[in-house]
Amino acid sequence: MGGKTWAHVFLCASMFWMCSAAAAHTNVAVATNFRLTTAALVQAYMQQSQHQVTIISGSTGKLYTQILHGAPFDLFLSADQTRPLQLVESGLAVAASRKTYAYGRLVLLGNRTVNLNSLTQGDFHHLAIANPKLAPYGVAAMQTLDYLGLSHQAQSKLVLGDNVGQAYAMVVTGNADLGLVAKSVVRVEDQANTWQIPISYHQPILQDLVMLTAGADNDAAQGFAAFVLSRHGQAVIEAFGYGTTNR
Amino acid sequence: MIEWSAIILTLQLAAFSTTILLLLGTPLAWWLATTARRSKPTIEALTALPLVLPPTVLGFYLLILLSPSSAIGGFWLSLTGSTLTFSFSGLVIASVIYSLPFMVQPLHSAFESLGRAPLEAAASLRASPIDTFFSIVIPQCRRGFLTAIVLSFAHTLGEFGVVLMVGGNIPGRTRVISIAIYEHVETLNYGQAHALAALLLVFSFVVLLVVYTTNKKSVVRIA
Repeated sequence: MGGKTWAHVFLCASMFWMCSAAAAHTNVAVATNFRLTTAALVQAYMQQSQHQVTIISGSTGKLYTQILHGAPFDLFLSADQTRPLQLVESGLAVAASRKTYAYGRLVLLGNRTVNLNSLTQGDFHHLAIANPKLAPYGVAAMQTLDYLGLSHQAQSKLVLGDNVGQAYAMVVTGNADLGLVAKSVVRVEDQANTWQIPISYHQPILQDLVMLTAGADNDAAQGFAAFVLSRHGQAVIEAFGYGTTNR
Repeated sequence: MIEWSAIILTLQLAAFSTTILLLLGTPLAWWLATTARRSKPTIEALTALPLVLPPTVLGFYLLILLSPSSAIGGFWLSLTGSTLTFSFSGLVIASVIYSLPFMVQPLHSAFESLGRAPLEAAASLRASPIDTFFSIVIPQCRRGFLTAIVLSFAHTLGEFGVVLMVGGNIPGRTRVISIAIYEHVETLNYGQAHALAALLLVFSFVVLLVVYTTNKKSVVRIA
């Protein structure tokens, strides 16, 4: 083997090493309502970066518990402000990185076109919501029922999904005739069967992200968090039906 | 504070399912033990499917089958005015399917090991098949019956994945012990999770201990 060939091998090997050093990988924990949006964000992010992002989704409460038990996540996109704050207080997240990335919207979803009367007239068998103990959208759903004075009547008709995605599936499969879910999880073909809940019916759904201490030095996680908060990222988020600080 | 509603509901579900399974599983196991038909392996395979399939597969199909927009779920809705999913009846159907092999397989092998001889002897004494079944087969196969009943009951107590998908976590109706434990763990209520988990652990151990002890005794007695 000539000296030139060796030089090639060295060059290739060092380029490979440099690339793998530059292209970091990150695990991002995402509340279910934001899963589809995150997938779109990752796709956009990959066009401008070599970093790899893996999405792990679940209810906010479930992910929070997993993080407390040392789950290998670098960044947490929560559906509330409480859990990120609690993680900061217990030293598992970086205080300065906590930012609101989206304002959630709640919709009433049915098997056919719905409006407020569908809910208030009580002519339904089951109302699917996310478990309020685990999912902020479940909390907003309960607040909405309280606001409308329906919490007592609706109590016996409530069915709880493990997260907002399961509550959505319960309605789409026809098992529940109504649901209160995140606007962002509703697929295009079901959007005609939704009615947006006025934001005055419940506490604002402020969704915060936070860098976890374990992933604080992860370039991919930092880059992705910055992208989510960037003008480009926020535009993607708005397209999925969220409010942002832009408007 | 122990969640009695979840415990009572779980015991009711296991009792209902086991009773239905006994009524359905006994003729099925008898047919499997005595038939010479070519369809036997197919029926055997179908019966054993819940052993192999992930609960999510069963849960997914049940979510679709029991839905009011399907034929079965729609018929039930028009009959009773309530849906099958998110109901106790739906959970009973799910548990019957989920625990079917635990009823059929012990009975099947008990019937097979009984052999043809006692049946032929009874027939030669002009006992009717029904009479033979109640006075020969059931007493001779009581260990098989006990094992089948206990395993079906215990397996239904431990049902989780299917209920998570078709139950809807309704207190007093579909919130069984396993779902309650899951939620307590997720919400960091370890005290309550511990109470229910320990109860289930002790109960399951005692049940199995009883089965193995009685099985051993009857072996001794027969020998």
